[in-house]
Amino acid sequence: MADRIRFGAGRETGIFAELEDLRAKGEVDKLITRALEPDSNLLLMHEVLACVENGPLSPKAHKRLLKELAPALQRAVAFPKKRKTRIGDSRTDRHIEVAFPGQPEAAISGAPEELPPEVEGILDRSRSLGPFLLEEDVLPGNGKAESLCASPDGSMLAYTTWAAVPLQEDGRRRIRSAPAEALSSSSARSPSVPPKMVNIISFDPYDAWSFRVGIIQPELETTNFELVGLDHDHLYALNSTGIHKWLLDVDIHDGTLRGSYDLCDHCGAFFLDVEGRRVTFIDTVSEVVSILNLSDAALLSYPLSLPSGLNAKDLNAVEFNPNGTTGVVLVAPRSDSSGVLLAIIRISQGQESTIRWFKRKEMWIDKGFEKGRFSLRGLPRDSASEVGAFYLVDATNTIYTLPLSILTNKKLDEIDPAHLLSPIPASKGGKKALFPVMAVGAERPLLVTYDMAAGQLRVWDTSTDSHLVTIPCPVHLERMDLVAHDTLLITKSRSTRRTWDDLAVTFLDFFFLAGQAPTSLGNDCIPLLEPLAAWAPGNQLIDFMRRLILLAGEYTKEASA
Amino acid sequence: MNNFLARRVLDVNFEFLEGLPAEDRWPALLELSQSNRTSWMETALIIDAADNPVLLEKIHPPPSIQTGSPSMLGTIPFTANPSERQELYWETVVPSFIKDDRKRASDYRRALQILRRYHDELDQAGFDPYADGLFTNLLKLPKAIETKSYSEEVFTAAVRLKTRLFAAYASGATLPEESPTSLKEYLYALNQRYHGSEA
Repeated sequence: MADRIRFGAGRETGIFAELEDLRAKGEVDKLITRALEPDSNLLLMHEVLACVENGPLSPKAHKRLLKELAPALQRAVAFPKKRKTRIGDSRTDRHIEVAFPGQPEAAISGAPEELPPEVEGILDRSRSLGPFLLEEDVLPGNGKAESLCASPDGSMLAYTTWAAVPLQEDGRRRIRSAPAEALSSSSARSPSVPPKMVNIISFDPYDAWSFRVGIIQPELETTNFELVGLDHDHLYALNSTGIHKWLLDVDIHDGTLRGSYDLCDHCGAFFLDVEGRRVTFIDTVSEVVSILNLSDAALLSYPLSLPSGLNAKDLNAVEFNPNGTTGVVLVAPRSDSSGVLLAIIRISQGQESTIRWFKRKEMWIDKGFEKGRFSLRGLPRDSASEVGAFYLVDATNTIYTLPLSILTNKKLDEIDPAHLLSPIPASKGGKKALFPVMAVGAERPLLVTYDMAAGQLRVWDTSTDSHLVTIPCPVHLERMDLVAHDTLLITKSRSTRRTWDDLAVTFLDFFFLAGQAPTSLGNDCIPLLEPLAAWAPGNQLIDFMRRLILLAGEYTKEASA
Repeated sequence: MNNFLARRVLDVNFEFLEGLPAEDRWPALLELSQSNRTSWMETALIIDAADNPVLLEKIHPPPSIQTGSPSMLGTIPFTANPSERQELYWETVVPSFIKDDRKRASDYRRALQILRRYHDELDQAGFDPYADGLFTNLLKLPKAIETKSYSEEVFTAAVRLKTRLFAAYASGATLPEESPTSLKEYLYALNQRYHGSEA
């Protein structure tokens, strides 16, 4: 993991309490000096300086610092109480609020003008962040997608779109058109639409190109298919004809079809391991878990051993850890009759499998899970370590963790169901809503969840299972992915009455920068801050960071002189 | 805009065909219309050529097509009648998703017409025919000139602004401040910093 990430640094060291104590005593200079310490962060420092600037006392030692930064210390951010119902596109409609463990929820979400006069001076880091999220018109291309997916390392993104203009980087003609016969056969069926394209964007190094889906298969021009996986060579698409499903393996550079895998017409829950080139799916007729190796097309099947009352069609999701040894099979929340919650399946190197089903009653959980994702909890993806956890979300968006460490060196029969899952306390208490969406970080211990009922995106630190930031989201989301070193969150809105919808970008890097120590902000941050400032011209914290860097440069010059 | 492109846009003289042997001209035209259609402008040129009987008179289909023998396009009967020849060209080389959508074909014609009329101004403003969104901006350009009056600012805005912003500008909104840095530039800075921190 990159060293520069410092999520809310200092909260464990008690700096927040120290600052609050100094503020209460009125020791302004000591307060600012403490906020400049390496275990502080920019969010805290901004709040401290804003507190002093708007308060009755003036510092002596840090007088110049306060004067130089004063324009970026005005308190004028108010947070909406309710979620906006209309789809807003104004930058002033978007807000961000930050929560840290140990901080009362009321102090986080309350608008500054609603605070009673006696608590006006209390430090509240949430006020430091202004509106700045969900930017459209950032990605190249028309920004409308039918289907979206990102590579597991977050360095590439692919989406399908209808567009007459392909992506072309530096004017190079990388576009490859479909053959004439493909064009004529496809356009005969759907003559009045522009070509369907797959747009591919590489984030590091930056590159972008397109190819016509007619190259893959002419029929795809007129049918809906889903992009399910992407790496640096392969793009995987799931094409369904009625109930029959095919997995297509496509060359990402020119769109040629490398392979086509028949998943038959009774393919249920589906999981693609892009790095391991494995497809796992539930065969709802044979009642087996089938694992198809895409490298040699070998198919292995393991019996599900379903408990009585449970139908294989009720299994709504399957998720495996990166090396494919341990998986979780989720039972749909709406399937109550069997009383089964989930299963853990373990596949040994000898290709033998064991599976154990867990009932809701024995786990003290009355609701099923909608979705699950695996996260390595802060370790790099290429680490050989097995430390990680499955994160499972129910219909109320409560997150439960299932750590692999519980399963290590234990037979499945020996596991105590009551201690298998543990909820993340801060995620509890949401309203019931459909369609939870999750994204996990590739390089950082990050988990992002979307709660449709609350209209919020929530960012979690999976190394500590703590809540980092809540981002109000004015649109319904269908899919999201963390890309570009986990600094950008790409979201696709949920389509209504059409097959495509908008793509938007959330700049999480803004938050990561704000989490750094005040002394660590150097000139190398300026190229990052400039675009952020252009995208969010009124953001005080960005202005604050820019001023701080310039000021630090002056201090350095003076010292060297 | 480079000279080669400018000649094709402004004159539609298809000079590049004249440098080819006679038997290669028709396949070259087909290639332009099918495999080399990488921007709206090339599609617009194809439509423009299909609308131009004088130009079509110069481009003779090869003997294999004239005699009706099988060719790369199948059997196409040769006709000397200009209108039939125009229809043949239209049916053969114009993509069906355009020729079956009259508004779309009309938009292509209009955009090319506007580009020809204001090519000097657009060229000075840094017009790139391959940039995404400029096709729509071109269609809005006459409205912007009407609303804001003929000025350098209008052409700069047409080249610089994204489609939604330019549509708002053409409807009377003020010119927004400098557009945000592109994602490419942002990622360049991000990647530099990221790799730098690793090192």
